[in-house]
Amino acid sequence: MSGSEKSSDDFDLDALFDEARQASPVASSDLMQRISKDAALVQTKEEAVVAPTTSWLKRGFAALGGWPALGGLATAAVTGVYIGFMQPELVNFDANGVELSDFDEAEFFPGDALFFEEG
Amino acid sequence: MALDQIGETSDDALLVLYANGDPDAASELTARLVPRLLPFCNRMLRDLAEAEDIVQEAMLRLWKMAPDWVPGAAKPSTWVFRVASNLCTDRLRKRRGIGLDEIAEPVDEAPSAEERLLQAERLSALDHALDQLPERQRQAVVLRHIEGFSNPDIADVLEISVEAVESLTARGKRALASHLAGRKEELGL
Repeated sequence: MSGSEKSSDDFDLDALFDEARQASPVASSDLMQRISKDAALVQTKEEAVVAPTTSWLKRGFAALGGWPALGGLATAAVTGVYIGFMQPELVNFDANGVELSDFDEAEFFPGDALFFEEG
Repeated sequence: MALDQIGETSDDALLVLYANGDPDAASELTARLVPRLLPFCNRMLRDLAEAEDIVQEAMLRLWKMAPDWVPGAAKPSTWVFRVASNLCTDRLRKRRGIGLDEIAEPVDEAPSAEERLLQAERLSALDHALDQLPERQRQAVVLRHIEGFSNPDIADVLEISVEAVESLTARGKRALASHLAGRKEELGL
């Protein structure tokens, strides 16, 4: 609270501060009303935010997972379109998922079929 | 909340009550804060109408911030004084360039007696002397010596350390004494 320290000077500033405090303006009723009105207005708005009314479309969208879910859906759709437009020969995998290269098989032992033949 | 209970509730709790929709909390907080806030702003700006605008704006920001208020983190009173102090600083910066003589003198309502005239003269001299101080020094002196804030609360308002507050108020008081020294006899100090 207000200091009771005395000024190092030869007169008492604290007395002057007290005088200034006593002569301070009093808040008018008009100002108090303006402030109360603001308070009520802000309070009403905040309450409206606490209980919002949302449309069925927004509620449905939220139930599906909102924007993050939509992001995943969009990625899947784009991937599907990409695969659909690709030329079949460029997607060339065998049954085990190994990509097959487009080259001719080299025959190192041209007569190897002979080893498997009986007789 | 019952009106007799609300008077004993802390500022902190009142702000939470307000955020929760209590209709009386705002009136009580207004009654507690505005009578202290207005003289401070008026002393900073020396214009009552402008001071009232600043007080209204600072309180409006308090209402808007209420839903996010963290109880115990700060005092609503120092928070709102900080906002008001910054708003006053902005106003004063906008005014920069206007000479001291162009700033309105405080209006004396009815100076009928000699003592009343002398008192008005003393207060005007104090305001003038306060105007000579650097802004932060003036804010610290007014908060400490006129509004009666504690040093830790002033530190909170001005966002500086308690040591810095002590230094500001001590230097401010010395400077005030020096400004007023020449008018000691004339003002009956």
